[in-house]
Amino acid sequence: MSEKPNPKKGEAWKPKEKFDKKANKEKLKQEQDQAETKQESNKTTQQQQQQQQQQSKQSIEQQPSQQLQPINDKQIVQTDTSNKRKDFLSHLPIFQDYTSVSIKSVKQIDPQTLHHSFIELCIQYQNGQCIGSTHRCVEFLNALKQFIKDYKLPKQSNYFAMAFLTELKNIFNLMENFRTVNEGMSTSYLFISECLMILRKTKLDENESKIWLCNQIDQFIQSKIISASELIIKNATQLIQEGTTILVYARSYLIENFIINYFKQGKQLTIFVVDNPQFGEGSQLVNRLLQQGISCYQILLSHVSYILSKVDKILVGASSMLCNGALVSRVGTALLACLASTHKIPFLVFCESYKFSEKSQIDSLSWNEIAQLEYGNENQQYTSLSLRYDITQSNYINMIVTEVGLIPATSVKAVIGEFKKYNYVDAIEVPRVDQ
Amino acid sequence: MSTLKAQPRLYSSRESILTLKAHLSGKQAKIPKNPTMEDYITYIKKLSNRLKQGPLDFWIPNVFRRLIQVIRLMSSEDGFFPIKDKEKNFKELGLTILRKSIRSKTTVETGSETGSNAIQQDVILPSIEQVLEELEAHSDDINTFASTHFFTNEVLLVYEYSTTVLNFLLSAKKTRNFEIIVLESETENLGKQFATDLGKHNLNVTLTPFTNAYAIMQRVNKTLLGVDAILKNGGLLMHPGTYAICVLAKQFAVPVIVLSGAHKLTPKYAFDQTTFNQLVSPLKINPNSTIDHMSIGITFDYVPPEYISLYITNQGQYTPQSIYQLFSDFYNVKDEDI
Repeated sequence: MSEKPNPKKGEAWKPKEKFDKKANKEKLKQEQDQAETKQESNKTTQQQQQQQQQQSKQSIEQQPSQQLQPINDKQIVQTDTSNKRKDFLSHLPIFQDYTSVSIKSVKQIDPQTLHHSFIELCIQYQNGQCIGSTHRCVEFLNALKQFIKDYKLPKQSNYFAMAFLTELKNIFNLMENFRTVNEGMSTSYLFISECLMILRKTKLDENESKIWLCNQIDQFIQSKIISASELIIKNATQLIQEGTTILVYARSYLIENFIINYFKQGKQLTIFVVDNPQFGEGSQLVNRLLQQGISCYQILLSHVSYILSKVDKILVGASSMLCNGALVSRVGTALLACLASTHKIPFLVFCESYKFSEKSQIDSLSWNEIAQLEYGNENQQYTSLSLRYDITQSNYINMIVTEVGLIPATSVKAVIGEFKKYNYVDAIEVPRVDQ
Repeated sequence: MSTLKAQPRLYSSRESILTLKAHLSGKQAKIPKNPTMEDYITYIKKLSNRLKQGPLDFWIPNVFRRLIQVIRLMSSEDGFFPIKDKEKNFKELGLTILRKSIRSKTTVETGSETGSNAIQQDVILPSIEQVLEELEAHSDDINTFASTHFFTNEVLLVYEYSTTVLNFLLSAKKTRNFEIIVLESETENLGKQFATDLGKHNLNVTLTPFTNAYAIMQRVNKTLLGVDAILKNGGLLMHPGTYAICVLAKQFAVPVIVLSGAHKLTPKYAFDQTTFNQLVSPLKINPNSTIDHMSIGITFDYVPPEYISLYITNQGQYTPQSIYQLFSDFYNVKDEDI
């Protein structure tokens, strides 16, 4: 938690009225779960060794069944609900409420993999406490580090690297049940597997490899997220002159830090924050800016047409940038981009390079995630639909601000090609055996 | 009455006409002793100024303008009406028959058979009846075009609550099968209400929040919108958010059809978002607004005529380029400054 420059979880965010009843229930469940898991983890450390013996015997015989297990996990969690869509969006994943029963049923299959830190994380995803791609990625990596510290090798395999590689796959498969794995998390997965490949060649023992791996994860967060954000803010400050009017959509980690930084340098900006009341992110941003003493205007997406003539630039954060130059971001960004292009307002995207993806996508409906926040229509007279992501085409985007520079939307592919040479990060420091 | 409550513009127009009727029949109107047509008309104009609820109230002046036009038509041309098109012909035929039937009756209600009351009886009251009838029946006239614009299994987009659109869809449902997507604005719950009202009639309805408009627009075949006011250049004043929808629809080449009664025709011009607009209290948008973070909310969205494909009114179907013709038939140029 100390790595992020944001204030801590407990202080700032209060759940919106919509989430209140749910959040209270969730808090109770969470406390219960934590209490249970702590008790269970004490017990299971004793039982784990016995289980590991069994598992390791089975693992040799039943390696294909381990691959099948994650599929079983998905089935158990998702078919608890009967709300599968039957219309044109039946291919999209829906992530339902997780009761403690469903989490436990997943846990029974693979008790070692579903560490208590991951349970906390998933409940946070559901609560709305952990929204935003950077936030989710950092929290996930922190949970992963805790998992690494508590991880114990099955007795038969001597190599930490080999065993952990399969564990990592299992973890990602499990996380898929709770919310889609975003691009940042996929990049971190690739990075960690690279690290594990390097570990295989060295001959460190278990504790040292764990420490080294945790260090590498810290370095990843430091270089790819924190230093990157500082560089991006530096690049962007040159772009935006004092006194311009900017429009911001919902809440993005980068843009929030950029605005706070800009004001700390003593310059002034007029800020319009466009709110998406469904997730409440705009109001969160407004509150955070107020805490820093920055005043801004708040506006809804349907009322944006009124002020577009007065706005100089539009700044937007990203969930990922795709290979064909399209931007994957919160739902509503594409609408804003379309309006911006009609009014000829520059549309800037702030995105770190670890979020660049090799996928391509043209329209928002072929892949998306359905956010189930509506509970009103018990009469089933209408179906409600709310998506989470939006694809903005590259011709609407004027410029992407990354830590490697200011690039147009079409150069994403070139940047990815550069990164592939270096395995997605700078050269990884190989551990010495002396350590 | 319950349907009228959901149509605030129609309701206010109707109420104001009935107020006028009450004034005239209750003999509270301050009209000089031997009133001519012009006296009545100036009285009506003054009444419309009094009843108007602010500079952005278009509907009360509109309905009085229509009334004055009908009065002029009834009193000036005697018997013979110029035949323009089929639909209009039947309406004005109805007017002549109505007038002749009234003149043949003997009036018992009014006491003295002076010339002034004759004017009132023969012209004013029947025109009031005519205008009220137009207001009541506007939906039925619009619905005659219901099935001519849709193909089977179409996907339609609607925005917020509009009773005109509701009636249109219900009458189109008899002959066509379609799917409806309702966009919901963030502030009011009208979108949900619309979805439930449509769903009660066994239509396939999906409700989405406004932010999903871009993603959903790929799937939509046509957009149907209700309107608050139609301006003389073909532009529209509507619920905030419709400008964004129309821009998107143009990007995706989705036709936008506007449904309205003719009582919303407003002979004014606007060119940008601020000409006819009003900021709404910040507390409506965000109850936690303070002076440090003000919320901005607006009343209307202006949509330029380039974004619209067709107007369907109870007086006929028009394109934005040709709707000015309807203004010259519906209103008189002399009354545009009410």
